[in-house]
Amino acid sequence: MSWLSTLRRKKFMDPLTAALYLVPAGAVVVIFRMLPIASAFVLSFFDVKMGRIRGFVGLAQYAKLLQDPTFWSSLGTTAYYVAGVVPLSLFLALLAAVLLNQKIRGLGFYRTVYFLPVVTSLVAVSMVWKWIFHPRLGLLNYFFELVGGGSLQWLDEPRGIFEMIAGGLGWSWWPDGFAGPSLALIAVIIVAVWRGIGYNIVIFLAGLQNIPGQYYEAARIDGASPAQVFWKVTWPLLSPTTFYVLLSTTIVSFQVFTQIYLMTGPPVGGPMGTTKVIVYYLFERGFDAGGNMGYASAVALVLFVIILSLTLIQRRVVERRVYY
Amino acid sequence: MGRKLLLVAVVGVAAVFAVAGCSKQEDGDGVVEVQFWHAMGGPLGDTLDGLVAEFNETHPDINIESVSMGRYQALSQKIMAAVAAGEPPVLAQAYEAWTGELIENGSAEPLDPYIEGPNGLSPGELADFVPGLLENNTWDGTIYSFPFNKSVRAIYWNKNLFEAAGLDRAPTDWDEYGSMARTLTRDLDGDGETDQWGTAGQISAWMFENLLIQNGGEILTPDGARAAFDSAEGIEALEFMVRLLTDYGKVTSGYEYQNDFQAGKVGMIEGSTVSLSYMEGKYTFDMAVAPLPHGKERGCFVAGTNVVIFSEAPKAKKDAAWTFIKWFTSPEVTARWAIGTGYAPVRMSALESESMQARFEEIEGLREVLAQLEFASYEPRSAAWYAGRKYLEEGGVESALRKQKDPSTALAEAAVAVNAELGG
Repeated sequence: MSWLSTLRRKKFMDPLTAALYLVPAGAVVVIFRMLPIASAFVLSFFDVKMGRIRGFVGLAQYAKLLQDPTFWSSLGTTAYYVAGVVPLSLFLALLAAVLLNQKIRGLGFYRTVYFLPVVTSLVAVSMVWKWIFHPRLGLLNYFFELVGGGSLQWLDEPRGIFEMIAGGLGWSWWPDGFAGPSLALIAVIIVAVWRGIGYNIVIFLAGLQNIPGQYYEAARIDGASPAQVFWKVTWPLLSPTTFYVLLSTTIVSFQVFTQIYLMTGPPVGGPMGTTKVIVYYLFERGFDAGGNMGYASAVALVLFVIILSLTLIQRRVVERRVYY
Repeated sequence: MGRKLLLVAVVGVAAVFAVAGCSKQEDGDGVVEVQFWHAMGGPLGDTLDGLVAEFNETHPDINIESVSMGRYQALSQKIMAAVAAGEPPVLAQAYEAWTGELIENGSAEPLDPYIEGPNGLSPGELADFVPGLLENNTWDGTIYSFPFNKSVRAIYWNKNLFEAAGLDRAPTDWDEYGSMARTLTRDLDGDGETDQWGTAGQISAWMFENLLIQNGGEILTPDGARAAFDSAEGIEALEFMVRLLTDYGKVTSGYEYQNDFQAGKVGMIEGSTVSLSYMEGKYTFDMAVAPLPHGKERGCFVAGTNVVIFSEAPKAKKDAAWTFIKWFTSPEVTARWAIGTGYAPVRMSALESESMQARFEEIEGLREVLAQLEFASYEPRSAAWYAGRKYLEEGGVESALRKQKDPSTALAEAAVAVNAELGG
């Protein structure tokens, strides 16, 4: 291996060598990430059926999109989903990470257990949860009935949960438009949180272990209570990690597809379209018979702009509170 | 050592890909390979595979490779993607709306040259097809697809429960449909809760569409440009459906209603004739089928797909695919397909065949159910309706059956969504 060491000695700092090293990864990123994004941008101005461009339509598809009530309702459904998954996932992952950061017995076991859902195939996870949620044969309703609760329709329930809770409290009237996400969507959210939490725990754990021990020691010497230690030491010093987890979870949640495709319906996105998220809407518009890839590309572009602006807003608003 | 292992692994993976790349079917020994994409699962897939195997045995120069793609939606997505990639199969099941798209794209092979060719069908044979079927496969005077798996709806009724309720036959009109369902809805153990239902069903645009034309309504305006199902006839039909399935019955998710019927908890259900193959041998009571009750008029929609040959395939494969279609739709084979699956035979003479007659002896009422083919209607074929139909199902029928909206509001809102689809 002497040629390798010669190479290293002589050329490692050479910019050309650096560029060469970047080519394989760079090619993958350009071919499979950048080019598709660019082509989606271009295609969104064309009528594209079955892989053939049928003509330039300008902004017509964007105009049609903004007038489609299904587009707006799928956007609303996605917003509910994100608003459900992100805070829940962050809170539970942080809680678990703090607990797993203690010196307890069987630590390795717990860490593995929490990470297991992440490495399990999402398809398998979705199918198993679909069974758990089954109204008649599912495990969840079995336990509900065991403790004397009624059985719920879960993935078949189109009613909003606020409306259902209000109904449970005996209010027969509930304002239209404030019914909240359907119980079916809540079921999907539960699975998403369960599945994604392990990944966030690992990131939080890494963040927690980066906090130097002397701060804790100093806090203890000053007689700080555990709550004070958490809010004055852990929370601020963990903020870069929390910020990263917030950003990545938000972005991934906006792009949810697999669980929706496998767990809901038929027809997918049901009941009553209350689980039809924006990426499934895109898929349906692009790939079903009569679909138009140009239109689907327009949807993708709009989603891209939404995620990008939300990320920028998060950077502006949240990053101010981050201590690097 | 570690590096060596890695090298072996990399080479191994590369070799697998290389071999996979080469293993694409080559037509050796003069056998023509024909890939056939379909969405037939369960007992339907078993029957289809059996018939395909028989065809391959009796036609040594052709090998039909039957590939199940799962659901229809998945099949359509795979076909559209394969056509876009320029690599469609030779033969595939397709709804009329898909065929329309394929014709527009130049991917659907016109079948008239095959029908009129040396290996074709005589005028007498063509006249033997169930009336309306070939017309429904014709675009601008050219036949582009061939009827494959066609079904109609039927009433399945539990004779024992009917007898216990003092009824001796299936309903023949809407009034009887409602009143019998009411009579069959019972609280057997007196605990104040219903434990036997008159009927049950799932959320289905198909059931509504049948009720709609029985009530004298139409799905779309005659020019196909606007929704017509939100008419007074449509509202009345949906009100009747809601009354049937919620007052004297229950709405279940998916095919659960069939399980409830098989368990003897439901007096009668509406279902496709194909449900026969799923239910066969799974019930212990006397079961019979009956044609749909008539409203103001008789009416029934034919459902199911056709088969298309893709233009992109080489001539020899297209000829072989036609040979398969011709064989599959011959009176004897279509009768056996019908017996195995519950689909309607596509040839009138098949109804008179010995095997079909024997089947009629087995399943009481099946003859009358299949006789509905004579006045059957077909759904609009446009891709816009195919895309818009889900708004009728989700927005219209589903929200009314779940009592989220009253039928007139539900249909009016669905019509707005469907019109947007038709107009765009």
